[in-house]
Amino acid sequence: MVHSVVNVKASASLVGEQEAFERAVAPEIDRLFGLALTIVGDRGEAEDVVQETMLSAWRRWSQLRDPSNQSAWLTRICINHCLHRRRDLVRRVLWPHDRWLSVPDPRPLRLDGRLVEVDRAFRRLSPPQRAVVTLHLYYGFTVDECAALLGCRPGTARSHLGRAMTKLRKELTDD
Amino acid sequence: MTERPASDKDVAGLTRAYIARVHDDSTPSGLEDRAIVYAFSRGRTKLAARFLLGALIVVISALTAVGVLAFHHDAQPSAVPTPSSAAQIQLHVVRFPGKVVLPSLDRTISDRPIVARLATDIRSLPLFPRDERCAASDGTYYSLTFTPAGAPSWTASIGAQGCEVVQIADQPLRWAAHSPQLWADLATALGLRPDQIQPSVCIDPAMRNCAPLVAFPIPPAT
Repeated sequence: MVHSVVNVKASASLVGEQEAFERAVAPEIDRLFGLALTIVGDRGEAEDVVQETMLSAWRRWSQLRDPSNQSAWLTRICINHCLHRRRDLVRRVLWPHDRWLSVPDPRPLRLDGRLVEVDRAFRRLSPPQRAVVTLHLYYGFTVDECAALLGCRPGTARSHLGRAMTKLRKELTDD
Repeated sequence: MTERPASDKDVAGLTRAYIARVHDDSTPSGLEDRAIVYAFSRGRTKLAARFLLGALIVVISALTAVGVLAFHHDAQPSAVPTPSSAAQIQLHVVRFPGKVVLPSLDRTISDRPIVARLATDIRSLPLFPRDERCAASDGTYYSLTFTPAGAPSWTASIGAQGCEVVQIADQPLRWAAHSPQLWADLATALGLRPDQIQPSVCIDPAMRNCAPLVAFPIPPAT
């Protein structure tokens, strides 16, 4: 009897938690997808990153103390997943030309003019460099804030940013 | 012959424009639902066990407490504990009409989730790429002043049209032109329809849900 009462309470509580979670994170998904797409550079992978981010966020939902910090919290989880993707590693090592056989992206990014060159240059950056460039240049985070979001020291983030800007400048000025 | 960027500023501007384009590329349809369902289905077992355990502990604690109280029934009842006061935050919104006639809007909102949502929306806005070209603006803007308890207040001015530029004190300019969530949340907070939060100027007598231009006094003919 006690067991069934506890079960009912647990289910009701779980449903309430799920609803609260869904309400809170749903508006963030577009932003997280854009961020993941910039860092991983592939729509399918970015989609996987968002899904993994949601799973991690749901598992740690009770640890979120300050709701006003939720956006930064989700951003950090998302970046962590972008930078530590391992799922396709074996496949890429064993079948490096697998991309020739893969189905092309149904909605390739439409770029024109100089943005094509920027795209090419951007893809040559390492994932942490892409992350820090996106966070600093597009979202306006300071280098210290970027470091906190990437989970590294400010000096490391500064180094990533400096090297990324040098590479981009070189790629965009070389003929 | 293509023009080459000359400085870090050019490289940063081009990179920012590229990232903006990537972000503008729409999210795959249904990703929102898929991601949330994925989270719930994968995390369900673990969470259910955790909730069950938590609830069991609560029930056992409650039963123990009842038992202890039964032995101390002559003890003085303790004061009812007040709920822990969650950090309060208040938002004061004022709309300043530009060259259009709009009803006055000056409201204070204390609903914490709504205010926190808007603060998050504003803080996640992208920086304004200064070379962007936008539609014309009639000058209407909103002033949102956030006053968190025990912390300094801060104000964001948000243009309702054009580039929808957002200014927060001495921070770099941001823009809301590609952030519909901010407008949706602000409309919800103020109880306005989407066409009321960013009113269009009436340019045709047949137009509905629009704001007429302010009638400036016509100078006398000379």
